[in-house]
Amino acid sequence: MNPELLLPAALLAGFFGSTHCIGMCGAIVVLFEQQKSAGMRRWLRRILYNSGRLGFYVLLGAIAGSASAVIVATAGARTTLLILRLIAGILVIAIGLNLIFNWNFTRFIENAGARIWQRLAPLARHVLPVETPARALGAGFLWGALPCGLVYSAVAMAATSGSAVNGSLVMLSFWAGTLPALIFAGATAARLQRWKSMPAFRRMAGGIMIVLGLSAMGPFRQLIH
Amino acid sequence: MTLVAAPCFHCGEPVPAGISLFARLGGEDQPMCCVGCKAVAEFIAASGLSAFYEHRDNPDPQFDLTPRMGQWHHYDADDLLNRYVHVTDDLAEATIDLGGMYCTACVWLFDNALQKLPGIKSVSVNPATKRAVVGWDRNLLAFSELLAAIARVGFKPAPLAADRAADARDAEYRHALKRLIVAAAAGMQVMMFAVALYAGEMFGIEGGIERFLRIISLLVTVPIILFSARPFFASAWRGIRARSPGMDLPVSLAIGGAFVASTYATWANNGDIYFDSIAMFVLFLSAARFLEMRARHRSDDHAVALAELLPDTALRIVDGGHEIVALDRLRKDDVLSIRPGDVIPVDGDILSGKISVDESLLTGESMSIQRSMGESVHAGAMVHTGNATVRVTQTGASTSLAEIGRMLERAQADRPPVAILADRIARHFVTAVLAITTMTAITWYYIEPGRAFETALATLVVTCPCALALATPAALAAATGRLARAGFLVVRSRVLDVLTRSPIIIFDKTGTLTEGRPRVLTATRLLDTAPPANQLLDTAAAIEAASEHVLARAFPIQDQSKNNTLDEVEVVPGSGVAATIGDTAYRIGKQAFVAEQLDAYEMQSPSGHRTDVYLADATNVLARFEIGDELRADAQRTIESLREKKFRIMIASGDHEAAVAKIAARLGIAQWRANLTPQDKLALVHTLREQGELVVMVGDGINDAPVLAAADASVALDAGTALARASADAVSLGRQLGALVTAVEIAADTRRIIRQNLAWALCYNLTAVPLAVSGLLAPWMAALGMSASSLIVVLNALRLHRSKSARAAPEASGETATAGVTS
Repeated sequence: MNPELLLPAALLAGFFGSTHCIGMCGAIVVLFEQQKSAGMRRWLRRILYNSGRLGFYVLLGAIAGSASAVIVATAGARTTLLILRLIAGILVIAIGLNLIFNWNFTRFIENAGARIWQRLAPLARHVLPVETPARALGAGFLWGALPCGLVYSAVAMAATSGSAVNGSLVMLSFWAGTLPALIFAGATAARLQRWKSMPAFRRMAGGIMIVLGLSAMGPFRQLIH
Repeated sequence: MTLVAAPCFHCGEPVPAGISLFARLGGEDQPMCCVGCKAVAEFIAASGLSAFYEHRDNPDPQFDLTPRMGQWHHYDADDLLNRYVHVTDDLAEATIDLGGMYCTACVWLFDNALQKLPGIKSVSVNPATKRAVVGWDRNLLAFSELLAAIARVGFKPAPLAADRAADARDAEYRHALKRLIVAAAAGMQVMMFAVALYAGEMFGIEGGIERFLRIISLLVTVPIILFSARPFFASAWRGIRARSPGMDLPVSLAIGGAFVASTYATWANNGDIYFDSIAMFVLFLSAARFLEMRARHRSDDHAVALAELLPDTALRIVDGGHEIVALDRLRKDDVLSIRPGDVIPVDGDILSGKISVDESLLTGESMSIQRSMGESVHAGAMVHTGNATVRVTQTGASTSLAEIGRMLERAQADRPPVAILADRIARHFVTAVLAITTMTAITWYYIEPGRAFETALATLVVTCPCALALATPAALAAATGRLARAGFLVVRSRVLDVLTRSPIIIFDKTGTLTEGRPRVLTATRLLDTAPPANQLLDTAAAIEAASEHVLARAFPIQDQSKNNTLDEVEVVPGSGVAATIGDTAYRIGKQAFVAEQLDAYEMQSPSGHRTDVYLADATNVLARFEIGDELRADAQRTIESLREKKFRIMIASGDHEAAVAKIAARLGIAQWRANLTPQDKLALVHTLREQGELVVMVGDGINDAPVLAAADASVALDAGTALARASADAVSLGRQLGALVTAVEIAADTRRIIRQNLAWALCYNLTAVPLAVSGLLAPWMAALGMSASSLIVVLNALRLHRSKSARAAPEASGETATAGVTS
C-alpha cells in the first residue's frame, strides 16, 4: 500500500541499520573467501552471496506481505489498510528511535529467529566449501536466515505493506541499503562503517525516519472531521 | 576513562547491558553481543573453521577487568578484589550496585537473603541509589559467593569501583528517559484520539469511525503498558512476593484494571474506555519519578565527582627510570613521581619534595595546602605547584577518597526514625487504599452500577501515598548532597534532626576549636646534664611517633637514619607515652604523668595557653616542649553565629585549666571544663543526658570515639587519614569550623521542608479521598492530581540544593555551591 513510506524507510534502515553489520556478517564474507575459490572470480562470488541473501529476504517479504493481504481481504479493506498504515508509521518511528538511541527492540524476535536458525544451520554442509556458483548462491541464501534484529524490523515493515509484491519490494530496498557494507570487504567497508556510525548521521537518519513515520499518520486527520 | 564491558568475541562490539550470551568455542565460553553473532560463531565452530578467530586481525585489543554475570569467580582475583573490596583485618566491605531493585520491599528481600549467608556482618541498602554497602568476614565468605547469592535472589549485582558509579547512573538515566519518551509520544497520540472521541460524543460520530478510533487507542496504549509502565508492575510484583505491598501496587492495579476493562469495552464495542487516563497517569507518574531520579543523581554528584577525579595511570619510579602503570597495578610501597597538574592517584607519604595541593573536593576547602616531606597526601588532591615522590600507603578501595564515597553511600542508605515512620504509614495507607477502593466500588454498584468502576478507579489512583513516601527521603537526599559539597558528610541523618532541637554543643578543645596542627615552639632543657635540646627533641619525636594524639603530631617526623628503636611502648590515652630506647626508659606527656614515678620533682606552673609536654627518664625530667596550637581562623565567627542561634556551647577539654580558660575567654564561652580524661568526658555526657539535655559532641573523632558514641549526635572535625575509624554521625572534612554553621542552617531548612512535604502529602490524601469516593473526580483528574502531588514534594525537596548558608566561610561554600550547580 504505502510504498512511498516503507521503501525509503527500509533503505535507510538497511543502510544505517546496525553498527555491527560489518562485525557480524563481514566475518562471513571473510570466511567464505578464505576457502578455495574454485576459479570463480571474487566479485562474481560476492554478487552471488548477496543475490542469495536477497532471495531469502524477498521470500520473507513476500510471505509477510501476503499475510497482511489476507488480513485486508478478510477484514475489509478500508479500516484494515488504515490500521496497517498506522502500525507501519509506529514501526518506522520505532526504528528511527532505535537508530538514535541504539536501542534494540527486536531482541525477543531475534531469540525466536535463533531457534529457526538452529534448524537451518545443518544445511551449511551442502554449501560449504563454496566451490561452485550454485553453492555461493545457496550460502548467501543461508546467510539471509541468520538471526538478525535488523532483518526482522524490515520484515515487520513488509508485513504492513498489504500485498506480497509490496512486501518483496520493501525487502529489496532494505537489501539495497545493506549492500554497500557487505559487498565490499576489508578497509573500504570499515571506513564506510565508521562514517555511518557517527552519531550525527545516525541522528539525522533517525530523524528522517521519525518524520516519515509521523507523516504516515497524517491521513487520520481526515477521519476526525 | 571508564572500562567497557568485555567485547563480543565475534564482532568486537561491546556487549550491551542486560545481555548474557555465550558461545562455546574450543571448550571455552565466549561472550556474545547478540544471538546473531552467537549463531555465526557457532556456525563457524561447527564448520571446523575456528582457526578463523586466531588468524583474523584482532578486532579491538580493548581488554577488560570487569567480568560479566555468571563469572563471579573472577572477582576473587587479587586485582579485582583490590579494586572493589576494602579490607580491614578480616572484615571486607564493598559497594554493590543492585540492578532490578525497585522498591523498599526489594530492600527487605535483599536483606533477608543476605542475612542467611555465613559471615555477613552488615548490610545497608539505599533504595534510592539502588546500591548496597555490604560488610562480611572474608574468611567465611568469598566475594564471588556473595555476588552469586545476590544474583540468585534475582538482582543483577555489579560491584562498584568508584569509577563505575557514573556508568550505572547513566544507564539508569537512559532507561528512564526512554520510558518517558515512549510514554510521552504514545500518550500524546492516545490523548488526541480521546479528544476526537469526546468531540464525537458531543457532536455525533459515525459508529465505524468511533470503533476504529477506539481500536487505535488500544494499539497505541500497548507500548505504554508493556514498556513505560513496566517498573510499576515489577515493583508491585516484588512487593507482593515480599508480602509487603508498596505504593506501586495500587498504581499497578489501577493501570492494569483500567487497561483490561478498556480492552474489553473495545472488543465488545460497548462501555467506557480509559486509555487516555492510563496514558496520562503513566506519563505524569514517570515524569515525577524521572525528576526524583534526577534529584537523587544530583545529590550523588559529589560522590561521582570524587570518583571521576582519579587518573587512569600513575608514573611509577623503578630502577633507573619511570614507567607508566595502570592504577590497578599499583601496590603498597610503590614509589610514584608527582608533578604539577597531577591528581594524586593514591594515599601516600611524601618521601621527598614539597607540593602545594588543592583538596577542595575532599574537604570543601578551596585554599591550597602545603605538603612536604613526611606528610601524607590523599587520593583526589590536585597538585598546583611543586614536585614530589610519594610512597603509596593505600590504593583502590582503601584510600580515604573511596572511604568518603562509601560514607556518602552509607549516609544515603541511613533511614532516620521519621522516614521509617512515614514508610510504615505509607504501608498501612496502601492497605487502606485497597479497602477504601473496594468499598467505594461496592457502594457505587448499588447507587449507580455504571459509574462504579470509574469511581473506584479514580479512588485507587488518587489515594496512592506516593507523595507521602517520597516526602522525607527526597529531602534528606538533597540535604546530604548539599552538605557534602560544603565538605560536611552526614553519616547518620539523626545528626540533622538533633541539630534542630537546640542541643548543647560540646567542643573538645584540642584540635577542634584550635588549628589542630600544633607545632613544637620551644624545647627547653630542664636538666644541666641532659643531652642538647635538639637531641632531646629527636628522642621525644621518636617516642611520640607511637601515639596518635594530636599533640604528638606537633613533633617532627622521625628521620629513619637516627635509628631510635622503641621497646616496651605503652600509650596511656589522655596522658602520654612510656617507651624504652636502648637501655633508657622514657616517659613523655603531661607533667603529672611524667612525674608519676619521680619522687623529688616539683611540679612547675603551666606556661599560659600553650600546652607543655614533658620528657623524663627514670630519674629526672629532662625537657619541656612548648606546643602552640592557635585558634582556627573562623572559630570566633562560628561560635558567635552558633550563640546567635541560641545554642548552648561548652568546652570539655583534656588540657589544663589555664589553657582552656584562656581559649574560653577569647571565644566568650562561659561553660568549660579542663583536665578531663576521656572517662570524665563520658561521665559529663551521661550526666547532661540524664538531665534531659540533647548533647552534640564535636571532637576530632579519633581518641574520643566512646564520647562521640555516647552523645545524641556527634561531629568529627578534620578526621583526616583516620576517617575510617571516626565513629561520628557526621564528619567535617575541611579545616574550617564554619561547616558546622552551614550544617545547622541546612538542618533547619531540611526539617522545615520535610514538615512541609509531610503536611502537604497528608492534606492532599485527606482531601482527595472524599472527593474521589463521592464520584466527583474523573479518572484523568485523579491521575493528574496524584502525579502532581508527588512532583510538588520532589521539587520542594530540590530547593535544598539551592539553599545558601548565610554565614560561615562564604568564600569556600560559595565557590563549591557554584561548582555544584554548573556540573
